[in-house]
Amino acid sequence: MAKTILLFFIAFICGVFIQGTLLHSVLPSIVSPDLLVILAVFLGLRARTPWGAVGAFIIGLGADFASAKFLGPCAAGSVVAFASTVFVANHFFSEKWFTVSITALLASLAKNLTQVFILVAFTEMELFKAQFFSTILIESVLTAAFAPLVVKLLAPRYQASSSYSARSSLRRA
Amino acid sequence: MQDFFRRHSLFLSCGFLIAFSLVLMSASVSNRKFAASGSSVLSWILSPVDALYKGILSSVKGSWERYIYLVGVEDERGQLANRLKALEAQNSQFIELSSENARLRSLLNYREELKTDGILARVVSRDPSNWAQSVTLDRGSNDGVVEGQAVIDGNALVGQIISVSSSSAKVLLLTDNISSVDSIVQSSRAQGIVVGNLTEALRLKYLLREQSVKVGDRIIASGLDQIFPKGALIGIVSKIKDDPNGMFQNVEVEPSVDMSRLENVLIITKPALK
Repeated sequence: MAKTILLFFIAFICGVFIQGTLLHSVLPSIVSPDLLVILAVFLGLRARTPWGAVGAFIIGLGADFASAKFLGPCAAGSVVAFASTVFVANHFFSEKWFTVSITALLASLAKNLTQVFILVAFTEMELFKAQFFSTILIESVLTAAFAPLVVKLLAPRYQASSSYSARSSLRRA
Repeated sequence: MQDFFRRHSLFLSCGFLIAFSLVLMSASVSNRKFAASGSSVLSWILSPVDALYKGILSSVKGSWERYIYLVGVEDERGQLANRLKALEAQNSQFIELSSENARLRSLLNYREELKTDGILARVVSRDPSNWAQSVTLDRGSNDGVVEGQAVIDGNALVGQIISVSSSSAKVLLLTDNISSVDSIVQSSRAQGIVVGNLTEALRLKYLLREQSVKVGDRIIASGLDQIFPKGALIGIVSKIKDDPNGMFQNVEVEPSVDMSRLENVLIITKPALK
């Protein structure tokens, strides 16, 4: 369990660093792929339990902390992304790169729309702006493009850490 | 009943977490310190990584310009080309240094002009989300930075400090949708409030229809909010939409600073009165 948490913590820090520092220093004013939503998608594919939902919530909350603006929009968005992934994964086979990509696209759209609706409900943000929708769309497409790669990178490490946890609990039993 | 909860435990927990997120959102809207407190911990973790990356990036850039760029050039012609490229690289470094020098000089001049204290800082990272416009600076509470201080670039406003850790600080940019500055139109002295809306343009709100404003007018900070220095440039009026039924004018302002290309900024440590 501790190894899995550490894996996700490192993945989260890498995600924030890549999105917040690396991409902006190379290409300023770029809409970047949401690497944190890919982590939520990964949890939705591999950890379809209430703990997976808590993990997605914590990832989103971390992104909220990174913004230092409000707590909640990213967290709710991340949980929605997780839930939509679980919903898709329960109905379709979603392990191939193409289906992972489509799942990530839907999850990212769901997350962004949730975030926008929350911001509109709680702040004075105007909802109907063409730029918002283009941002959501570009970000979701980029996220979908990167998702299979990130899932492929995380999968063996996650498997190793979770099987280590399973072995440890068996040993304890 | 118990069976229902067991069968739908996953989606019920998702629902609970979403509801909890809304409670957190509601709490953080009413108390902004709530979100800022956790941010400083994350900044504390991330600032060494960011600083390390910036260091590596600048040294790699230097090596590229000085050595790798010249590898593969042949014989005499190659040597001359080498020399030319070395000079070009040196020249680009000079240009870079001179532009940095000019930027820093303008910040220092502005600090002297304002007769106030300021801290020079470098932008190390941006907000990872597209729904928040903020940047992280490499100066924190150890350098005297506190929440609420104004941040400028040249003589133009950038934003204000919203959270501080020991070695870094987060700046809410003017373009963020929760940012607002009490401002005046420089030519007509008409007063309004400039707000961000997560796009590249700002909006000047609450400017009455009878008040004079035209495209190209400079919008400056009024200083009434006791945060932003009076007279600091916010932007230039870029568009005025006429709404015959509205009480106020719909004015779009182009910020004077390109928020996506911020490098060095000045944190105003005391609100200045010109």
